Amino acid sequence: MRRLLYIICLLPLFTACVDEEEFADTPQGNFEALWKIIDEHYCFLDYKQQAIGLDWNAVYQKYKVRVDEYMNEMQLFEVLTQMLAELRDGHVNLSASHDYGRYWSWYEDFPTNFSDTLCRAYMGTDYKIAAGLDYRILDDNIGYVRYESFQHGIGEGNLDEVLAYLMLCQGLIIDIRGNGGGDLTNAEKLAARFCHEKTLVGYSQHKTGPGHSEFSDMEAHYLEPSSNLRWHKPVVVLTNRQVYSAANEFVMYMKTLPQVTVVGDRTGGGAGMPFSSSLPNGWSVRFSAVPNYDAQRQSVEFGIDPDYAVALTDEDFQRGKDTIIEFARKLLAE
Amino acid sequence: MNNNKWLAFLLLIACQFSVVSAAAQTSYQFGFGSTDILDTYLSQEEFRGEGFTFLSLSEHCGQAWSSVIQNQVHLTSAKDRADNESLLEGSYNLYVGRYRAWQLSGGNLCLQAGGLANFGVGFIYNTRNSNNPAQARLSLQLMPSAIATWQFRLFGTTFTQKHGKASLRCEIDLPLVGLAFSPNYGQSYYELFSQGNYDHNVVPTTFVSAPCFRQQLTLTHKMTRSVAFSVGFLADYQQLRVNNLKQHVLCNHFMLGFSKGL
Repeated sequence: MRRLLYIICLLPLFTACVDEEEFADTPQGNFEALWKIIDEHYCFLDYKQQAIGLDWNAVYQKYKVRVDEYMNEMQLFEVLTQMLAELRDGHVNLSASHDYGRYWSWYEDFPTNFSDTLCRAYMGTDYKIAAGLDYRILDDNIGYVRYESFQHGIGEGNLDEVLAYLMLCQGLIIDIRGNGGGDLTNAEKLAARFCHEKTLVGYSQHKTGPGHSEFSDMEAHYLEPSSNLRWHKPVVVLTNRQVYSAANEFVMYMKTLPQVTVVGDRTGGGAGMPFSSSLPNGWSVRFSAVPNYDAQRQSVEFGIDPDYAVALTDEDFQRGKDTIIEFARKLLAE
Repeated sequence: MNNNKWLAFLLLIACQFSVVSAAAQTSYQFGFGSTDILDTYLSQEEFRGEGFTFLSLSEHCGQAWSSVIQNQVHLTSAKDRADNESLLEGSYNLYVGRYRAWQLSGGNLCLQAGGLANFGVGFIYNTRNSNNPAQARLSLQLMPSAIATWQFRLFGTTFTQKHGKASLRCEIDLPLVGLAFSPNYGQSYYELFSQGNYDHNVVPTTFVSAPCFRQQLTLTHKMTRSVAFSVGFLADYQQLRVNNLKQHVLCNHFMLGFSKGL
């Protein structure tokens, strides 16, 4: 009993503070804090070392010499944004009150393969809108649904109404060109309308520690068929380089389904669910934290190839035709 | 645990409440003061702000054994050092304790030693983050605890004869073992709640991985026959270091309140 009392009396010695290393709010301090956040939390350092030769320690040496105590905020922001661009990741951003640091080369360096002018020509003015979905029946009895962003929510009721309206169409085009992502549950909800049996669509894992290789086991991710109205006829999904993040996941899901064909350009990628953190000076940093993989356990961080690579042509544009939509219509008519 | 054991457990809890419901003292305190918050799942930065505490304490101090039930609610709004980002923190803690009591110095000093079961639930919400906006907090801890209560005369004999003695109460609670909820280092709540992928999310804790510390210092003096006024200080340091994540909520609050049923 007395020994137990001694042990209890000694317990305060173990109640040390749980604290995190605090960097100074100086250019060097903010640089060190940002480099460390990415070093310990970014989920693709190992993968990108193999895929594109990224060496995050070398990046530290390269950019450390560009930071000094006399820099102003804009100069520091520019250096830090350039450092983050080495990751080649659209999910990595630096937010300050004066600017938004980003890496958008994954679509800026490629043709858009989408024209708002052409889209409006196909949709007309009497198309229908159900939450985030714009839809109509084209002249050749093909259903056309445009989903611009998975940030726009959709309900099961919306999907029931849309599919009921398009029920007699011989095929369906889902145009997600320009869809930069949003809420993954919206992507799943839509994909489940084309799924007729429980289907393995991919894997996910997460970091279990600050080391570059510290990951959990891959967990299989299954798509469950919707218990509401489902679409059994052929479907074509239209993609371009701006299809990113949750939209990239949607394409990954749809590619596993037998009646689905993907047409257009390679998607932009973005296979890491982003987390956020902050720097001593209050700037916010966003970075990929939770990696997702396709059903073959391959990363789709740098995009997914379409089944048919089709690009808009100037000739078709002059004729008021969207080459990618026309290709999809031909496929569905066959 | 079979049904009989559950029944025995519930009866034990009920007995605890029934003992305290017949207790001699119930106090209510309201506190305000500084709170420091760190949660590396949300940010590497520490946030500082002002918080509010409500604490109710029911205590029965018998000759040999005493029982304590405490309900504590914290609410805090905090900012980062650049004043750019906000955190909101809220928590509720239920402490149920049982103590062995010793009366010393002719009854002027009461020493109590025993243990508390601490059930805590709460949240930390970052107003700026997107996919990791909040952290849920859920824990159960067994805590060794000690209380010293010293009764003394205040403002002379006449005042004491009229109002009774004042008391100074000091309580210290320390961690021993427990269980806590935590996402894994880079695990998203989407994985947990939408995909049902769990990974070391209920973690055993010890005084090393959850070095919590709680101290109350309360000066109480009777204002009427049954109501006493109290001022005090609450230092409540809740800390957790599991799954390579670090979290602390450090409260230093000045408390004001009253007791009744002395």
